Amino acid sequence: MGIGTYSVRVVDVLHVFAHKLGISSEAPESNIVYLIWNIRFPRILMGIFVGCALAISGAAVQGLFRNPLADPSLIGVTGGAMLAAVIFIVIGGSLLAGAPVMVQYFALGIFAFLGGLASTFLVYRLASLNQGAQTSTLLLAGVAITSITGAVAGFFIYFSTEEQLRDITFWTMGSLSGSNWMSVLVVAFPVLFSSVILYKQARGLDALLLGEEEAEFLGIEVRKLRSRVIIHGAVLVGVCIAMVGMIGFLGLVIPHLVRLYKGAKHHFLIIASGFLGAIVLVLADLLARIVVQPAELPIGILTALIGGPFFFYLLLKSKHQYL
Amino acid sequence: MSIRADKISLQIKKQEILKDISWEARSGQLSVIIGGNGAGKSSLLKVLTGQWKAQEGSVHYGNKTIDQYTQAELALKRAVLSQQIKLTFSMSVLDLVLLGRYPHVIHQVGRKDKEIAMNMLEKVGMQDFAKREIFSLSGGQQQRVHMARVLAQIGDSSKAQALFLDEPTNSLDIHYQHSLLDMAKQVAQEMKLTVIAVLHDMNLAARYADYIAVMKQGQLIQAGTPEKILNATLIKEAFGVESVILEHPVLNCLQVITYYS
Repeated sequence: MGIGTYSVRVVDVLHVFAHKLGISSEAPESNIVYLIWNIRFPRILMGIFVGCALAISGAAVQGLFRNPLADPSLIGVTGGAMLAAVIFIVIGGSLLAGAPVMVQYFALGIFAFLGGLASTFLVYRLASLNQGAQTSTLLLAGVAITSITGAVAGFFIYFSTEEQLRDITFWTMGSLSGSNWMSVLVVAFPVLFSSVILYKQARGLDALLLGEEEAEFLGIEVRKLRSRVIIHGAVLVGVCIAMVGMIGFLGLVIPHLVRLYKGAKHHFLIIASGFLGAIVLVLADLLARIVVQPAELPIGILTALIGGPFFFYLLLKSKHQYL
Repeated sequence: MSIRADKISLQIKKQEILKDISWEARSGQLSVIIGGNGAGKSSLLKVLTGQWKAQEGSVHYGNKTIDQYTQAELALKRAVLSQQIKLTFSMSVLDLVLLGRYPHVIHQVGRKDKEIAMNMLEKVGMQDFAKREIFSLSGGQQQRVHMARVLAQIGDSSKAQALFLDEPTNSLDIHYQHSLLDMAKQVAQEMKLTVIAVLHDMNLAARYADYIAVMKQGQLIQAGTPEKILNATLIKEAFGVESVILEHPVLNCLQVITYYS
């Protein structure tokens, strides 16, 4: 927490916490308090929640689709959120031009979140058109919706101004830099709630490893399980995208890392993915803050740049027991 | 628990798949369904397991119809070994067998579940592989592990239960084809299970089945013990091939030699 463009000694960091918790009555320098308590601490908490949410939803969605390449974009949530955000930046931004920054910030988030949920719902409805949702049609519907939203977003991007284009680009690369106590609270509740619900599906997801028919033979109501995983997976990802933009890759890779070392049982997988996701994102954010000081790298670039090759290395190393 | 089909008819997209099938499989016996491709064997199995619902007729488990059970209750009544199970993510053999305990477990598997799982692995001769990853085993070994899993689902079978096998010998070599059906027959007797298997191979059916049901074009054309029903006329009708039926030279069962003319 002390590391960054403006470095703070560990003692001072502890001092800020001691003061905030009422242990130390002596107040530290106020700009240090502000930096630590109002900027860096919420940012770290945001990293924890977002990393945890992306990894858990990735683990659950991969379990549902029984596909190692599945990630939450397959259920349409990222595509919808992306489109909503682009529309908002291109059109809504001018409407809200006079509004306070805070309002603009949250409005974009809410818009993206709703867009994500709406497209997930659409994917689900499309897949259920004939005889209830089949997982394979769900997958295809997800791919279709994602490419359609991508195309429409491209259309808006084509008509955007230079400045809007810049905003869009930064948004798609994700960043934790806007985090404050308010946004942390907004993220915390849905993330905790939906993570717990997904954790409760762990045994069902275990049975689903055998296939949908087999899971039904074991007494699982696959349809219920599927809609729960989709809804709560979409909430987790939607909330994160809404608050910090797109942070790719985490949801895909973290669950694989856990599986490589501890197998595919979902109780452990979901919890461990949550922890690992949180740790990795906080560390990545730290790197994002310090590598090009005093500027900041968008965190999405870092997660992909470091994670990709690392993942590849792990796969090569263990190709015989895995996949 | 006997399993009884009562006047079952099934249509899918206006096509008649099963026509007016009435049949009963008894506990303690291995009942085998045979028939050519597209005869409706697997469809009948799907209706009997409760996976598909027939438009007409009913399926009875003991003295209740199958609709009176919830999915979870049904999982305590019957286990099903499917033709092909493709896993995406590997896991240990023991963990896979423990999945069979799912319907019996409220939260986490306990010591008793592990004991049952190990017993069943021993039954299929795979106890030494418990800690191995499932992907490191051959197809035949995997099939045996899945057999252990469905047996673990049945468990100690203090309640009357059923086991369905959908072409269980498909991926197995000759040795394991025999050993799997031998095992199926054994568990039927020992655990008083109603075992229903779909098979292609008439000689395996003749050797192991207590009872055979022969299907053709969605209808049940003959049912009874192998000795009673297997004859050249029936085989000609069901499969469209000529045949000679002999006494097995060593064992006390029939032997079917088929030919095409």
